[in-house]
Amino acid sequence: MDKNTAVLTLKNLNKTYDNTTAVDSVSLDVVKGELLCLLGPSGCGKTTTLRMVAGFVKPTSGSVLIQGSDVTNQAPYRRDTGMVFQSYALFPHMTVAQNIAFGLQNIGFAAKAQTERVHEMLQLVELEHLSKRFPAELSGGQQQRVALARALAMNPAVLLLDEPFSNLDAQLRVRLREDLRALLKRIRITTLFVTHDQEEALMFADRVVVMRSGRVEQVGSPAEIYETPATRFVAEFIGWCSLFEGVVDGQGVFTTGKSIRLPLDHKPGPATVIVRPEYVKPAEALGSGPVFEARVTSNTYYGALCRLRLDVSGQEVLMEAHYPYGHGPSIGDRIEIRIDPKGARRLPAH
Amino acid sequence: MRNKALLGLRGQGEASTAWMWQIAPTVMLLLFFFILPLAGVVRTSFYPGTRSFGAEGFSFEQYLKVILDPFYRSVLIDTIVDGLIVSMVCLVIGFPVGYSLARLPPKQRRWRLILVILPLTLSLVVIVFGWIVILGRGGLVNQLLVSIGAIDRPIRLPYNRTAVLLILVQQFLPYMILSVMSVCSKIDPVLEHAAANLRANRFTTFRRVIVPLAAPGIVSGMILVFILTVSAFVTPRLVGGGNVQMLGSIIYEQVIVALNWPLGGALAMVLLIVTSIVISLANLLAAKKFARHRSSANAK
Amino acid sequence: MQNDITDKVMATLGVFVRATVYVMLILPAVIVVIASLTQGDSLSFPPKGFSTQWYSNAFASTPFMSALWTSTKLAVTATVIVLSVGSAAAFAIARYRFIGSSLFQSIALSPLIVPVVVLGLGLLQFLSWMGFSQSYLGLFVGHLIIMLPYVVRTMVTGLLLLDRTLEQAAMNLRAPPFRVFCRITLPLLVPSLITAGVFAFVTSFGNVTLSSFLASSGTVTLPVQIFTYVEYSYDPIVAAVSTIVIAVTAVVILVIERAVGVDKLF
Repeated sequence: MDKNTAVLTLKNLNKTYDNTTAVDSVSLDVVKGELLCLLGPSGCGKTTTLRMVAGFVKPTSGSVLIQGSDVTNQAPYRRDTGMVFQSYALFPHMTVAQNIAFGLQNIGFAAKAQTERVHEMLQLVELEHLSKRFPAELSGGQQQRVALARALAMNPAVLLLDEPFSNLDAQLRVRLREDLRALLKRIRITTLFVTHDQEEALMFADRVVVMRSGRVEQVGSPAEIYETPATRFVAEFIGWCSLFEGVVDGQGVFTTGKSIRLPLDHKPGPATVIVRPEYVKPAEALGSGPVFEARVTSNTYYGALCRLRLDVSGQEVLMEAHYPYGHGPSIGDRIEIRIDPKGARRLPAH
Repeated sequence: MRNKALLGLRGQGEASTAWMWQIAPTVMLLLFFFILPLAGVVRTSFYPGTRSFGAEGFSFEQYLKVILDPFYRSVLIDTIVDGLIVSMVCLVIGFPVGYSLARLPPKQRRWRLILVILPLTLSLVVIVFGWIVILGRGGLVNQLLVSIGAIDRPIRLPYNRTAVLLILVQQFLPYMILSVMSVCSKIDPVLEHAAANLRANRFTTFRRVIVPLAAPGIVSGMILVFILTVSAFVTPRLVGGGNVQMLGSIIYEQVIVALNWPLGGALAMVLLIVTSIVISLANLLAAKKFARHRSSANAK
Repeated sequence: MQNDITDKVMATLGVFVRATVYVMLILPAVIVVIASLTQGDSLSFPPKGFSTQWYSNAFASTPFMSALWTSTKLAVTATVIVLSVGSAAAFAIARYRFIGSSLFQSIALSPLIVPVVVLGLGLLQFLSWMGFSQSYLGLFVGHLIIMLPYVVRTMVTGLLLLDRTLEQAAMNLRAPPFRVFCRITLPLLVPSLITAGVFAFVTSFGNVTLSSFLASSGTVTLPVQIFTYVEYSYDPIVAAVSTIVIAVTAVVILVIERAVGVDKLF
């Protein structure tokens, strides 16, 4: 198969319940081996989209194609998808090995082939020693790996992950995320992955689809989504940023009222500009760029760095900075900051 | 696809008629052996005379008899009073048990629950027979009374209303206990800690927090005990002999012994009406008072 | 300090009431078992001497033994039928939205709250109009009606608590619906089925109120037999027979305890 052929295609997918629209004309292509993430707040339609791919929800209109064939009206149990559920949905009355073998029996694996495949999968997720255990006897992280092994054993065309890390505690989550990404990349499986956690989406996915009330807001690589958000919603949903409303004049200077002036090489006219907090620094820490006087309105300690809310003549500016121990500014202090013009992004006009 | 629908595994939005096949046997069973027989009782209660078979006509004779005859009227009133007494007593002594069961760790709860479930599932006659042994001439109570010198010779203890009510309380207590337990186990213990933290002592917590939240379980437990009491007939017959008449026992007598179905039917209708009024009143009260708590509890 | 006193009074009262209630609940059964072991000819407590003669008498008594057989046969067959009929209805209630669903459910549960004397008269009369009076069939359908609420309630609860994502997971693993039902749904419903079945069984096995309306000379159940016997005379043979009933009930409860755990019932 050609590397760029889409394994999963969604065409104009719509889902309406009674009078509410859950998913509104979503179109997507996921290519072989890609990790695509659907990201959005709860109720944005990402899970409904995933369920339409798996076949548990019937689209109101539009179609789902897996490896080029239309599966829109195909029953869930005929589709070549492997799903890891948010709750993992491990069968409580079957052991780990029986859970993994269940799917293999349904596609007609002989007993010997089943055993081999189960063993292979348990090796893949490093759980050989737990094959006789029941799901209730496993930790959350182990259950997640069993659910993954069960889905992967079927060698599905598309792997579907529904918030697979949400039931794990924070520390474990970070480690398992890295492990899982490495594993999925190693076996080159096409993956559609749903999350509401922007950090998870950025570190996990090859491409991120940001959704909002059923619609796709932006599709792009994690860096594109973060650095060049297409809409105000994306800018604010992902990470932290200062938002400036102002005008670009004929000399390529962006101004908001009197407070902010930044060089911005763009067409003249009204503009919304965002600046990520890491592009705002204390004046002494950045060599160039315009200097502004700011009053500290809040300073929150995060360990490695501090997040400050600053007031620059009535305009709120957010800054992330590292201060040597005991040298951070207090609320009400006046400090000088610079804004790196490289970090100023103009949002596309709508 | 048909198979899928039959097993209730259909996807969203797929219409199906499988439910019709699934409920059909139950509908037939209920229609022929529950609804029609009850309708038959309604009809019978309007027959004149005392003939059970081949009766004809329509009259209010039976109902007039039930209302005007002082005997039936007093039995009706006594039975309702008995129902209220038994359900109140069950509530007062059953509540602490149900509440404590809800709060006990599973291991300790287990054997106590068996103590509650066994009498619930045990045949009524066996329980009544047990009480006859306890209260009878050669029974436990008499032996105790004789041995402490309170009486010289064993006396006849059953055959009075107190004995009947005592036994009814014991029979129906498990229903109350389980009803209270199930509602109390849904009350978050944190609420009690919160009340204690707000300086409420145990009695205040009980009165202001637990009782209001347990009210739906209390009401349903009391309704059930009331209904079971007013329709009881085995206990009054066996323990009360001819001295203690209750609505249930005189219906049984009319139906089985006197074979006067029209009168039995009218008495049965009166019983049905009394229980329906009690249920509707309680539900009305509950709907007004607890509807809003319940919706917030469900939202959680 | 006032707080402490009310707390103490409540705690003491609570302990006293609970102890009294537990003793009261179990007392009749215990007394019957002990009284059945008497050597004497009349019921007394404490029993005079120790013997198992009344058990020999009970097992030799044709009326009691044939009633025991009738009760067992009736309870077992009715349980099997009501489990299948009631579970199907519970399936429809729990999984489909249809017009009249809640009405259907409340009618199916209402035999619990309709006074048994009313139902007894209704069934007795209706069956005699239909020409089935004094038949095993009448007793059988009557028992089905009073067992139905337990089965419907237990199975609806069980089905609603069953995590449907497990069925979706099975379908995602390529299992067709019938297979999903056999391998996932049914095994996960086993505890509910056991609970419903046991409650249905004991309801039928111990029932005296409805049976006393529907039983005839050929179809006397054990509780009815005890009822009619006790109306005229008490003697230790009833204690022995009652102990058999207690034993059957206790065994059945222990089955639930082993299989499901009684604390998960309510």
